[in-house]
Amino acid sequence: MTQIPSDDALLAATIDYLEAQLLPALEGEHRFKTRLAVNALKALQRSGLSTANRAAPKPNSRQLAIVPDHGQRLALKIANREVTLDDASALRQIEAMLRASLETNNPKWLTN
Amino acid sequence: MALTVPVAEEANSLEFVLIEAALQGVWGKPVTVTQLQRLTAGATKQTWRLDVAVRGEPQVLILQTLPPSKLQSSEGPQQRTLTPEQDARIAELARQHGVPAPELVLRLDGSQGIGQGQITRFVAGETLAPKILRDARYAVARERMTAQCAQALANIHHIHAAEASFLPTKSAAAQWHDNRAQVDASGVLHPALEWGLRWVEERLAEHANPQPVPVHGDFRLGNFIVSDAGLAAVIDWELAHLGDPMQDLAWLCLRTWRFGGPGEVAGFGQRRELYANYERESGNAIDEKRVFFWEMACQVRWAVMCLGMGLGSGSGVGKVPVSLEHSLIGRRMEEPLWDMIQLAKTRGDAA
Repeated sequence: MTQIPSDDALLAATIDYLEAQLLPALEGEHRFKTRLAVNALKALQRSGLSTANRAAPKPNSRQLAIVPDHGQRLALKIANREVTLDDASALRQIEAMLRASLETNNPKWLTN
Repeated sequence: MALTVPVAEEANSLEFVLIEAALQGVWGKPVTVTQLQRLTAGATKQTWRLDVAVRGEPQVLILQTLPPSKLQSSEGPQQRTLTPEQDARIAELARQHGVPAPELVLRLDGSQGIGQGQITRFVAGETLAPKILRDARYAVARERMTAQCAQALANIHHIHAAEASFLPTKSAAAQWHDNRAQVDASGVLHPALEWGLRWVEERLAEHANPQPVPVHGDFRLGNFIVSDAGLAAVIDWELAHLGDPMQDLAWLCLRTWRFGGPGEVAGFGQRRELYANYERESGNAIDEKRVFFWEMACQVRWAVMCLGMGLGSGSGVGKVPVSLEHSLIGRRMEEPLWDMIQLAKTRGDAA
């Protein structure tokens, strides 16, 4: 499965919007609850990052695009014309990769 | 949703005195800004509803400016989006050729001190696709819009290329090279992207377009202002270029721009009606094979745009976090790639 941007980057963008853009425009209860939401997301962020930091060095911006190794190998074969475009196995692998990402990001796309 | 910004709080970013002076220069009458309301539309441009009083008479305008960070340093074939000046020029040229578009009041070239962009007349209507596709009040509009879109496209494509020579020329090959360069620069090796780039590359010679014409480049719901009577204005011309007119027809038919609506054309229409009206209004036959080629090329193009936004190239490479809006667009990259594969399989053209 490919995720661009990474989960961490998506979470950071969400926090940035809520905290830097929306929060200053809010008042009263919604301001308070949005602040709580930011705090909750930051807790999730710290939790996720600490796990990632234990497992691997922090990725740089180029590594935010996480394509599995077998996907990268297939991409190279296609680019180098080592497989034909109608290669049934290649098409099956491509569809499986796309399906896995869509099942996370927008499952309706697969059925509508 | 729109955020109404009190005039006093915005004074730092937009100089109202300068706006008033600029408009006074256009109309030769005293102008007072009464309200400025930030609209949410647009991922790159800043768009504001600008209420003014001209000698006490209220008028509603739209102010669009491009942040300095989005300005490109030069014009030419390599530029991806138009400069604000080019954007305003092509929209006004199209309006003069019968395309519904907001009337230009003032082109902002920087000399007015309020950035680069334009001030146009306000056009009443809706831009949000879900409302246009589902609200009962737009039922009549939905019935009319396929023919209206065909008419608008025919009028755009009829503008003589010499009149729009300020636009960059973007052949299919040029767009392919741009896509290739963006993917290479991203460092992403994705098999579906590589499959799509190769599919398009192998057909470039067959679909070279000898006579480029003005093309909107992003003709779809979201860039239409729709009234109860249908298409009231075509907006957001920043991707306009000289190219293949079939590209506009293909882009309009992508599933992405149907926003869940049932119609093949932008969620509200049928392809047969679009083609028949376009052929009648333009006098040019639709080349369905070329439209299919462009549908595949457009799926690749949209995927590459999603990739770029997801990685943050639109707001500075490597900047983390990218905006929430761009992050979520990044997560949509697989949608056009999935459609591309399904389209090729359905047409039996995956070889």
